[in-house]
Amino acid sequence: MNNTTLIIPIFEITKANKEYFVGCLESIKNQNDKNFKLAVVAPKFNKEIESLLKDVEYQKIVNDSDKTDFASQVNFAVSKIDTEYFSVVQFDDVIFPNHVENINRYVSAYPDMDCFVPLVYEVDSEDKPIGFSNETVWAAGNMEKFGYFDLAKAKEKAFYNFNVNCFTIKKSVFETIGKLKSSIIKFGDFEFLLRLLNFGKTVYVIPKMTYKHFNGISGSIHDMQKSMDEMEKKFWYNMSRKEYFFDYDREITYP
Amino acid sequence: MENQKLTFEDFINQLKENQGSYYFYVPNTKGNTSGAVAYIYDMVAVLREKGYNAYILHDKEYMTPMWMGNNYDKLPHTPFEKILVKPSDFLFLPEAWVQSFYADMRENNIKLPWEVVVISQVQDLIFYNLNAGIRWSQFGINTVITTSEVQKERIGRFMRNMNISVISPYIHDEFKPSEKPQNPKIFLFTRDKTRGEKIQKEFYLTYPQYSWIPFVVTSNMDRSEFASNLRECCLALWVDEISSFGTFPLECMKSGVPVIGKVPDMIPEWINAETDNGIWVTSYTTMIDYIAQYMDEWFVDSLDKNVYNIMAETAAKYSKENFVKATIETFENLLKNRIQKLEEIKANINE
Repeated sequence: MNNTTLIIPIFEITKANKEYFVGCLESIKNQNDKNFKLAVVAPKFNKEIESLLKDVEYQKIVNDSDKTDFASQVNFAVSKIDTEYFSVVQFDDVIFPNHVENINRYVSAYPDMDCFVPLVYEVDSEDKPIGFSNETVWAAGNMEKFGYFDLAKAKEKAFYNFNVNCFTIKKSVFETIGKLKSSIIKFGDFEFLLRLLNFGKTVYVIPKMTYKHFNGISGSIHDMQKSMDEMEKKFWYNMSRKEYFFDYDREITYP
Repeated sequence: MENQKLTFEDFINQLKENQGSYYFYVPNTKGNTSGAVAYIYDMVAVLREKGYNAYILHDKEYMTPMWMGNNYDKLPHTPFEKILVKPSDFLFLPEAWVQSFYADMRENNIKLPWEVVVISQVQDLIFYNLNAGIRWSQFGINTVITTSEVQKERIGRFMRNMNISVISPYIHDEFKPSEKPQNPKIFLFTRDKTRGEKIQKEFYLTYPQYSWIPFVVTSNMDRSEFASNLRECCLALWVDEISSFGTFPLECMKSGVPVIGKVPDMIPEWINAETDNGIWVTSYTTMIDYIAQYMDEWFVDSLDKNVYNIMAETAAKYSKENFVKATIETFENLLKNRIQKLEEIKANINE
């Protein structure tokens, strides 16, 4: 049974990121477990995007509203899918062949769990290894329980090597806690993680390396974060720690 | 009431009706876990199920080990002081205690008429207390029970003209694969605790990308809790240089936890070139590298899944059914030989 939809939000395919999108699609085609649906959400599907997608079966979701940022794209796509779970794959990242296999395995083993994230294999734009994200959840003494995020520890900056953009979550839980927030321009995944935990939801790190995250690709969130000054970083970081109490998107502007 | 004087014939008849007592000496481990002790309790439990008068024999000071579960604390226990030894009885002595037992007897000028059988599980312990040049036969012992054919052959090289039987331990049903996916934790089982710590530290420094992976070290857990901790781990490490059988790796195999083990001095019978049931190394440095390679593959699910089937097949050979069969066969032979021996003595007396 296809219980999970992989959602790929696309903003714009450029010369710089096209090869990454091609790699992402290849990795989706190479999944060991084919029990999943694929949905691609974009402001518009031009000929180039459609040609890149010609070999895959997918649900086409057009979000041509005035908000086409990452959060808005994901939120819009979620309203259109019909599976119990969904998983977000960023169009410039790669999933390993065991990604869906592990989602299905862990969803089946932990049916009460609200959200899963994998161990993320971090690489630079040239595919050179940088390290892991989310692994500290499995290190002795770093969380209350092995494998589970807990709010108190997650809030400590010392453990900030989380990457929860590639989450797999129950659609109903995502909608209940207020979806992703467009107003949190940076550190949005951190705010989302804290919000999940604050609303008593469970977040488990699948202890498998299933997701390769390219850092610092031109135009990516990480690239933007790299160019931020310390003041701006601090602002968004603190904002994410304040906004997680709210299950709706409040307007925030960087002064 | 006047004590009835029993004749040699009576003792032979007692044996024929299997009315003799089987005393298994167990040293006081003060409640601590010990595979060697578990093996003896398993044997006593099986013998009692089959109608043998088997007892745990212990010193005055003794703490019944509770960690084994299975109501083993309910098995009959008796201290030395309370037993009356007859020629129809047997004493089973762990190998490390043979010399000291006979030294005590000699010191107190006691000669007991029971048949003494050595239980040898760890070859290294045979010489632990034994004076140089002394063989068990010099104490009148000619029967040994050991745990593997390899060990039988080794013992036979220096304890000559012994009647050696093999009863391999069985792996308990508490050891079973996890119903949930396994976790990135490494179960550490080393006879020498500091060796385990060194492996962990060297691994963390050599492969810093994995320095967050926890090593699980247990002490004095009951069997059920131990098994539960083990089955959650994705890998186990085994270092026991003096092991003669290797129960722990078999427990891992039954639990579906792959093992990287340092091959002990006496290679266990279940390690061989044809059977790919684990990763067996000969140096600690190699062990560190294999842990990293294994974890590389575990994280991306590229391990050969057939290994898990081979592990299960290896462990299945050490079933309770096989243990019961070997135990009963061995004890029937012991009984038969004892009857024959007493009949020969009786015949000599009558002559």
